[in-house]
Amino acid sequence: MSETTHSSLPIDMAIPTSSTLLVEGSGRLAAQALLAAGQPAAMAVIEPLTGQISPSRTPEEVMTITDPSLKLERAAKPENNMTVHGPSLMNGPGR
Amino acid sequence: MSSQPEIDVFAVSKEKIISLDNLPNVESLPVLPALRKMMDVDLAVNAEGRVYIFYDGQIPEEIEYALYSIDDSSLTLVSKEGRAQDIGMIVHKPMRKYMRKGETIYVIEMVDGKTPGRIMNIPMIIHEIGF
Repeated sequence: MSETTHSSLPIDMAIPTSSTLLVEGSGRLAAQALLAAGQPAAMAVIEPLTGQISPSRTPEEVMTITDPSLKLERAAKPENNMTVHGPSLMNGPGR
Repeated sequence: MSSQPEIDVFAVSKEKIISLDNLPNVESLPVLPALRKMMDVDLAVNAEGRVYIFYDGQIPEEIEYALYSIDDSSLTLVSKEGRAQDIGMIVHKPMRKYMRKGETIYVIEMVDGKTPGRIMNIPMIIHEIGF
């Protein structure tokens, strides 16, 4: 058992390894802490309300997601997730 | 029939704002609003059972220990004064088997959401009735 303390510890002592983290929440605070500790561990983020789990990401990738509520819906390559529907017979954008 | 003094059950809700710098005594306010309602919070665990709470804000009182209830999948912080504060998130299934391994929690303040501030390692008590 690691020794408990109420006095402040350095971040690299709190996060000494880069083993994968399961994170519940936006993931951004955890990502910043991993970067500060120099431990770029993979992160799998769990949406607190639904329990839905995201694919594993690096802290840098988690930080690029600006809206936490969108993080699980965004495709790895957004351009691949694009569908356009419309009335092609009417010279619309249908494909 | 003797008249009993009326108890105003809504008295607490009439308090407009709870000042974190000047909390009422524990008997008046034994439970604080969920941490996640007050600030951004991440709960994290790794495969070895090392548990973290990252927060961005002011925790009202010095934390003495955390209580992880397996039965209702909740995590509650208990202050030195004995006041309880749920973190405000259900501990979802993927995390549970790793949380069970934990004995302490690293509580890490992230100043402005970016820079590590105060870091404590507090005991985590695991509670399970099994109903």
